[in-house]
Amino acid sequence: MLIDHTHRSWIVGTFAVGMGAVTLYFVLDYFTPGGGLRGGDTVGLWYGVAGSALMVFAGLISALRRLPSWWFLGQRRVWLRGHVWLGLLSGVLILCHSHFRMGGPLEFLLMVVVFLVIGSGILGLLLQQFIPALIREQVESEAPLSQLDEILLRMRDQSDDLYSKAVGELADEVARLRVQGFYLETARPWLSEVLPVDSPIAHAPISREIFAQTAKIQGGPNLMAFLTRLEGYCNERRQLARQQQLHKILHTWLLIHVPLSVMLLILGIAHVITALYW
Amino acid sequence: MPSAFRHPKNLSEWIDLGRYGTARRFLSGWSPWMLVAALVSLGLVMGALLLDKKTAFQSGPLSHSHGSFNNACAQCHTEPFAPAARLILSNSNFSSVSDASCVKCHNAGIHHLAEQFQPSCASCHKEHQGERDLKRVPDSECLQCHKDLQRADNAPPQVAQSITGFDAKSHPEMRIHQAIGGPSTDPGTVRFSHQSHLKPDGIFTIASFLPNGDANRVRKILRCADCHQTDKSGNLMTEISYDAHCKSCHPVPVRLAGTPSKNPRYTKFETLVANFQARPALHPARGQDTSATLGELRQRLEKLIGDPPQVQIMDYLDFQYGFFNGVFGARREMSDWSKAQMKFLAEQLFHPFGKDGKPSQAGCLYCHTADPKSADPIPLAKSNIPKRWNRHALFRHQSHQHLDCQSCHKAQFSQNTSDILMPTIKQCMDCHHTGSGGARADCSECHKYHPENGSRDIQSGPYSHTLEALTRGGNHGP
Repeated sequence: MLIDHTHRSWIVGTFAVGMGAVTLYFVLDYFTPGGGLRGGDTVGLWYGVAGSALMVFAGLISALRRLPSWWFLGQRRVWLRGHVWLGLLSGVLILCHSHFRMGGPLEFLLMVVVFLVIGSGILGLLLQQFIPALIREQVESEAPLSQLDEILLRMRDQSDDLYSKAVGELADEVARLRVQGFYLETARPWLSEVLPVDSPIAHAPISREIFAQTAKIQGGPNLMAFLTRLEGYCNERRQLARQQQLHKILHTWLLIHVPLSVMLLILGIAHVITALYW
Repeated sequence: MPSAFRHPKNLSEWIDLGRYGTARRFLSGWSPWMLVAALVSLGLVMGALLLDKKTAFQSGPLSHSHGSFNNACAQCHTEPFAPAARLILSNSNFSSVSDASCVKCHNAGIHHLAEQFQPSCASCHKEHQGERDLKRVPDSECLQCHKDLQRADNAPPQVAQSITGFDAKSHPEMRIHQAIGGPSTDPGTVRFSHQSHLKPDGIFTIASFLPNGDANRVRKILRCADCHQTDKSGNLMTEISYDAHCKSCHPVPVRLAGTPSKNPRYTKFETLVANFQARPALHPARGQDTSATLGELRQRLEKLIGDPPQVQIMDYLDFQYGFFNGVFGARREMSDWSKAQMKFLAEQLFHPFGKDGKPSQAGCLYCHTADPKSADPIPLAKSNIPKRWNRHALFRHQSHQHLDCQSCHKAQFSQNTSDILMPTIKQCMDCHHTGSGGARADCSECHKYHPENGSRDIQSGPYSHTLEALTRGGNHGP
């Protein structure tokens, strides 16, 4: 999600509400005798309720993904923006609720989890500002990554067909072995889901050179067609590999953000129950 | 350049069109990690509950003084869901810890009957903040009332109405130095000059009385601690008492009427009289009046005379003192002699004058002041030595033992009893201030909210907790 001018109202609103909440908290804290507010005071509890409510709202986006686009749920775009900005605001309110203390064991753990969730979310948001543009620039033949295995399978199948035809017409045994060795040991492994380590055709200039050398093999028109198509496939596989790499960078933060959100939910419920009871 | 091989028209040849319609594998995508996180979280929570580690849910560690029931929350938290009530009703008066929980062990008294509101124990003494002195309450708690003091009965406050800190502008002078209803003076009636007693080369004191009644004098250099000692707590000073602090230098002599005989026939009796005169009069203890002194003398006289009175003593006294022939006529009664001697002794104690016409060191009037309105046999004014000067503040002499007494109490210049030798608040502020390098200056440094020996009107008192009850939680004791 790009942070652009359409987020202006969210940014201003979140900043205003956050500053207002913090200012109000410090004013109330100043006038509260006995060392100021605490998490268990009425004011502290309400800040905790507000922060928790915003966290729950932010977490509902994962459930929203599984629901149809019912009209009363509103636009997904709004939910996503709410997830980002209200999620940030929830951190501010929780800091006020805690009186900027780490608290006991459960509260300490919760605060760490909150920081990690919000921090990873901010990281993800930052990545989303740059990585998609990089993908657009560097990966011209972008493909749906969920279909990558299918695409590679098609590439391998079509390559195998062309390879059979090309090799079949080669009379020279040496040429045949050379083409066979190049295809089976270098090119075809490059078209698999798991890329070989230190493949010579991982780098475009080297790949061009290798294919140019291989193209000098004397053979029929099928061989040239095969090598041309194969080079195209390898080039595309290189781009898809880059797309995979950038995609992993773009989404790795979710490995922290999503599971810890679950942890935040469960520990938060435990904290709410025990805090309201004792 | 987009893909040379894939384009919208042949896309169906490159992708699995039915992929999104197939069921996802169980635990695919992020699901395994979410399941791990959920299990870890639930494991932590359930583990803490099952292992009875309630400390995991505390908002902070307890102070050491409450550490014995660190895991027994119910010892103090007797009001379940009080925070929920505070939240829903937005009322801070719902305390998780009731006052009854605290008073079970801490018999803290009411601060003042006319205070506008009585804060709960937990509102001032906030636990779960780690190791801290719970008695040291922040000044803001005190200033709730004392910033603009109002009484619940609308009567004018008996202390300063506005106290906002501990500096010259925020805190009034000590009441003992304030001229409230008249000059501020020491109410004591016993004549005493500190300057006379603190002479660098010492003073003459009476070590003992000779048989002829004369004083045996010796020189002694006095220090403050010779008379002023701290109590067992080391905080306050013990009361000045005659027997402990004055008697060794100021014994009260007694002399029977008449002069010793040179007749060796009466040597034995005169020895008895000499022994009588060598022993000073008894000074009344605190709470007694001068009748105690005279009563003791009367007992000694009766012992001197004997029971039944010896004829020889009667003969001696008749010969020696002649009361029976002159003053009381022909009746010869020991009771008459005793009465006369008692009258003589009382007058001696009350009206002894030296050759210069001034009260001599013999007699009560040397130190005490006469009070004609007193009904005592020897009419003296009450000593009125204050037992404690600052009743609204606790001064710890032990904490100040590194200081010389006279750096705060200017006794070396005091000649009159009426001089107040207590330091002013400015002297305290020289060290106790909020600036850098100052000693503590918060309210609780000197003042106590709960009165000493106070109690509350609820069941309280020493309470025997069993170790199991303390550490395993549950209700308070039996």
